[in-house]
Amino acid sequence: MRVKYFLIETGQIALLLSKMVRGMFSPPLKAKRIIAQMVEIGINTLPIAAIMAIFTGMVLAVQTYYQFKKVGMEMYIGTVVGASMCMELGPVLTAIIVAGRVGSSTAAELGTMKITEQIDALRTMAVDPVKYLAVPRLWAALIMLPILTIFTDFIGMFGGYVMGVYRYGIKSALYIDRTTWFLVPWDMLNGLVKSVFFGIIIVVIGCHKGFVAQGGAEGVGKATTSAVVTASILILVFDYFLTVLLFINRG
Amino acid sequence: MIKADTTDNGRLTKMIKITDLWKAFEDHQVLKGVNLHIRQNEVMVIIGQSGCGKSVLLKLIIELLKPDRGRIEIFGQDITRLKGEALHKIQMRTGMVFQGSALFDSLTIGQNVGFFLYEHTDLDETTISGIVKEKLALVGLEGIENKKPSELSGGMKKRVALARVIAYEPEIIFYDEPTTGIDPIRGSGINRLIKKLQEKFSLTSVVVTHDMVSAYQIADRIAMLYDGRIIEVGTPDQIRQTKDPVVRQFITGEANGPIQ
Repeated sequence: MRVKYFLIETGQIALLLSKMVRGMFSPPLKAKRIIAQMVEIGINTLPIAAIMAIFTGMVLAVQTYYQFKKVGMEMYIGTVVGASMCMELGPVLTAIIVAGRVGSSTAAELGTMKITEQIDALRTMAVDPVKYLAVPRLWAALIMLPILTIFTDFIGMFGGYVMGVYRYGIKSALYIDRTTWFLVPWDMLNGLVKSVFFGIIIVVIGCHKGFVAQGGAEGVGKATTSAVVTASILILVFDYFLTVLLFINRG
Repeated sequence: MIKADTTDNGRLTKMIKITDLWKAFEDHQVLKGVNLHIRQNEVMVIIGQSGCGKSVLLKLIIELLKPDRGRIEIFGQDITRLKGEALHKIQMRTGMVFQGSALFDSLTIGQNVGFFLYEHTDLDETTISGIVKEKLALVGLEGIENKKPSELSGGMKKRVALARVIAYEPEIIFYDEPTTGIDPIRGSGINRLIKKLQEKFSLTSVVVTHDMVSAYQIADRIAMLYDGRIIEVGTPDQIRQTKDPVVRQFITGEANGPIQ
């Protein structure tokens, strides 16, 4: 039975995604709704993403210093912080935060609309719920997640820089030199490509859980929890496979 | 494509024709061959016990559910076979007032009432807000355009839901339990409103309810759904004088009888 439900749900998600992608390119697209979602996903998430990034960058610097000091490689802190932030922690932690904020609110909002018949009301007025509710969120996530990730990458690296230069006394020029030394543009791009996929995961899972919600307030609660948990796990699993794929392509 | 059912001036006299409609959920057979014709400009009230499948029937007619078998013709087209744009065209000529009103709670009352116009027409803001004001006045509400649905009482929400539907002047309006959840006085207010709009816009209305007071007040004809079929159709007077023991028991509300 579990396997059956899993397969049914996977099928529903795939169908929803294909509808959303088709909806992205069919007029009319209401810019106002996309912008509203961009504000929600991007700007409103920025403060908490920035706090996450600066502390992650700083703690990375502290941990790396603690290990590297033993072998006299302290000046390479910047290398480790830069690569870790851009390739892994920036995209993944940002996505997890967005999953917590936006995935949950999407599932809760759409779930409430589902159980109070607002989604049915849209359909009776010849408005496609996927087009009206899901497509603007997908556009917004595709645009904002990479942008948010660029911010967190740099804020994280700045956190590492502050620790390296002001706490451990590494010369500023040397720290920056060691950071950019190994960090090729492809590494950063690789993180941004990941963040695009994470954005799709967050929005599709959030919308799906909302659209299939049933059973009153309890059902909405379950849909919300399930959206965050499912999206977070999928982000981590996809992160692994995307990393393997992206590095294979690099040769 | 349009067969029979037309008068001399070519207008459809049967707006909705339901033929042998079946629907089951899992292993529970809800509808077992429903047949019902709804004429133009009439108020058809479908009565039946709670949970007998009235709402399912309504959801099938407005295409929120797909039947297992049978035909539903609206404006002469079998909607069970329609998809996409063709279906949207039918939906734009019909409207639904939901039991819980189903107002969009992220939008203001004004945006709710103007929703269809914002989505489907190129009318500018001032024209739409004029129409919104006019339709709200029709349902007896004024100056609440900037409020949110959460600030209104249940009865007011029902009125706004009505205004939202008549804003685009559909030809058929469906009502799911319009008087459920509001007090009898407000309920009769809603009933009067349904009648008033019916006459003003020469609508066809389909009302699903288990409230007999309301059914007698508004119905031109009443149909009783029981055990998955329509067992009797008639004017309120005919229904009052029914010989059918099931209908008799339902309209008088007796605890003892064929319905257990």
